[in-house]
Amino acid sequence: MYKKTFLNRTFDVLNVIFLTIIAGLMLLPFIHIFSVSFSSLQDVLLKDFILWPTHWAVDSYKAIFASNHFIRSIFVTMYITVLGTAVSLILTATMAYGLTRNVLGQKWILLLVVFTILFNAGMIPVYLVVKATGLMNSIWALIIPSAISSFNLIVIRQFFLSIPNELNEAALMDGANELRSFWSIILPLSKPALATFGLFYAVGHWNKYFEGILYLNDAAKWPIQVVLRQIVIMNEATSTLGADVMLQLENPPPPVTIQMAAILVATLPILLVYPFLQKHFAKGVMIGSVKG
Amino acid sequence: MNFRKSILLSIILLFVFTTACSKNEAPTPAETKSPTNSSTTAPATEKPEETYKITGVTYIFGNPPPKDGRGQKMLNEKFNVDYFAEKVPNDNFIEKVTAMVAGGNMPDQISFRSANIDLFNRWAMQKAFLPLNDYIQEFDYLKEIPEELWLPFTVDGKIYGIPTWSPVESQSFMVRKDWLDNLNLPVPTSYEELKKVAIAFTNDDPDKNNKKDTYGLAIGQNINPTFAMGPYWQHDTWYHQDADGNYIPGLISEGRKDLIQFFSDLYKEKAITNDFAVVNWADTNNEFYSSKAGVFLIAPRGMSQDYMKALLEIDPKAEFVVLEPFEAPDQSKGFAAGTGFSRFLTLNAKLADQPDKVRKMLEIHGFSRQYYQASKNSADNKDFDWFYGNEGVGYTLDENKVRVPMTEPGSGTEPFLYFIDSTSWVSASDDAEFPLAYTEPKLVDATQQLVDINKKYKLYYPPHVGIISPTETELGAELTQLLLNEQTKMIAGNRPISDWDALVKEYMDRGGKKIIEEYNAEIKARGYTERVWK
Repeated sequence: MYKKTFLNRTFDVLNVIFLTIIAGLMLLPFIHIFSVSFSSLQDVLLKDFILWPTHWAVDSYKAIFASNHFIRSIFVTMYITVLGTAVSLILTATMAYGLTRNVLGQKWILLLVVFTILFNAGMIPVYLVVKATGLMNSIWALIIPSAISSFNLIVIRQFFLSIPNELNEAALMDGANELRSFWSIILPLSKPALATFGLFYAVGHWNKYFEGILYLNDAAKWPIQVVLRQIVIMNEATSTLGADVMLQLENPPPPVTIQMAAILVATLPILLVYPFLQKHFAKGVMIGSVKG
Repeated sequence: MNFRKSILLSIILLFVFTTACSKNEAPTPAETKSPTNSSTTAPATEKPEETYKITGVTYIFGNPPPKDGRGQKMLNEKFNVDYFAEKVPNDNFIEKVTAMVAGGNMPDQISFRSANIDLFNRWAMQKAFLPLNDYIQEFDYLKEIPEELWLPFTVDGKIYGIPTWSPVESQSFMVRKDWLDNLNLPVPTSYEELKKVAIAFTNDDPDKNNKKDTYGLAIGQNINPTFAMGPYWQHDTWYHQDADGNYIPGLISEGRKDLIQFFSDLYKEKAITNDFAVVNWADTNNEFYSSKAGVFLIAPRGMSQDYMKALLEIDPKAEFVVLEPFEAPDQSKGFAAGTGFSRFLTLNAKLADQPDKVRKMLEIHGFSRQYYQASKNSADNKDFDWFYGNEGVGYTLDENKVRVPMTEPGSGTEPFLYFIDSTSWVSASDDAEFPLAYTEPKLVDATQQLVDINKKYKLYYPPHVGIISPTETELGAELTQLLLNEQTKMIAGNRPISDWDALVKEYMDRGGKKIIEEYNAEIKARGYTERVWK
């Protein structure tokens, strides 16, 4: 039996303290955003508080929730995320499973998949494809072109390969066909993998920004990231003539408190998904790390 | 059971995909073809009009209204068109426009930012835009545009762009009047006096709270704002001339050197923002509006009333005085004029064989640029009432007759939200009434002071506006950053100001010389020799 020495215990204590500090540091920006969003502009200007608001104010949230546009775009993003994640998972899982079977041209198809990891067509060719397929100004333009991530596909395929083929053979023996075996045997066994990549896909869809600008011309369909950036970005005068550029605007940007409230409201929903997937996530990231 | 479910799911998915893919394939019913029987040149007003489909793209700060709002329908009805101006977030505007044009989707009209003049020039040379020379004489609103504002949009003698109004009125700087009074100091009229004021603000407790918590000038990264009290000191205008009579950029001029020396002296006294080299624009604003710094920028428009109100809650006694221009060593006194345009509109070259459609577009454009003087607003003015979505629905008028919107832009109630360019053209004889943009009395007062100062002095019209220099396009940003970085070091004392000539030489050797040559060739071609003040 292993017995901890004094030195071991000291190390553990220091380690816990150290890691707690690191974790705390990660939280600081969130706490800052939270406090600024719940403060009045005067308090923020005076730097009246460090971490916690001295006077609570909800004016920024009133401003945010009074804006139809903002609320609508959150629902648009939720829609894209739920639908997009479902589509991505179904397409990725079915294609990955198909590529574990011994089908004609399997190697070539895999090669083509890997090829897209290494070489990217670029903005304008993809734009042309989206236009030619009639997806322009449709929410689907944000879902279909990026439905399958090649990297995720390869990892999930690897996961399927690690499931003993005997299980599949047994199912077929009992009268199931390939589809049934995939649905009733393979998928239930792959829950950790699906949860993990589901989360990756969901976060990816939640953060969709550039596609929204490029393919959608109706502002009512804009995802939250585009709307959020329009609220926040004006605060950053990066050009050397920043002041002039800023002051040529007909309307000055909203105060920093509203910007922070917008960031918080736009981030919270996806953040809330993490705890629920935590247990799968911990298992999922180890996929493929240990053989046998 | 499970098996059936899976089959069902696959079928549903198949269904969803096919519908999604076919969604936009059918042509929209409103789409109409160009008129083939172009009825010579007379504007078609009598005979039944064709419903033109007019597409456009422009940039937007903030968020645009939805596509199918009330205002959009009103616009289409009034002009009998199928009009749509797509508004792209400012940051990605160029990427989107490039993709659209490369993808064969170039819209009928594009409204560019003034900063996109390079791209405009390239595309104009490739004949992507419609020459407008013939149309200018037909429309009063185009005739009204002064000669010099067409210059930047003229390529090979053809005019391809219509500028949108922006104020020529200059910005200045405001000083805390209550602090000056507390310390019995006069309003500064020279850099010597401004220096004394800044140092006194730092050391003599101007807010009388017995704490050393104030200082002079709020300034941030890239030495911004510039605190130039006239074109002699201004970094982004061309005022000074070299020994050969060529104009040179302000960043390498004697005036700028004096200014850097001035900042450097103040930095030693801790009378400017201490960590200015890394403070962004938002935080620079905070320094002034939190009642820490006593001198900051004021512009004719675009000031944030929220921040001004916050400052007045922090210190209700705050008063502001706006500085008049300082007399320069060459006896000039006044500010530099703004460029006079902000955005500009171009039309697609393919419209060449549809003159009636072009006229329709210009008619709409002209309408959206009408100027309604704020102090004379009234619902009786039909155009005004329509433009802003009707009194009681889109807006109300306050006691000063200033329009107060009743809905947020996201609701799309007002027609003006849907035009590609809804900035009024304020001609030289009109009063732009800048102060009426605000309700906070002290901000209104400060803006009025700035307007009065602008009226009192002549403005300097620099020779460089709208000139494209290939070298500038290639190296300009890099060289400007180099100068700003080195000048920042000089202010902070990390490089002696005696190195100034070496810095200018480095700029010249790395491409500055060529930039100056290219600019001056064009300046001479334009016939600009003596400095223009008017």
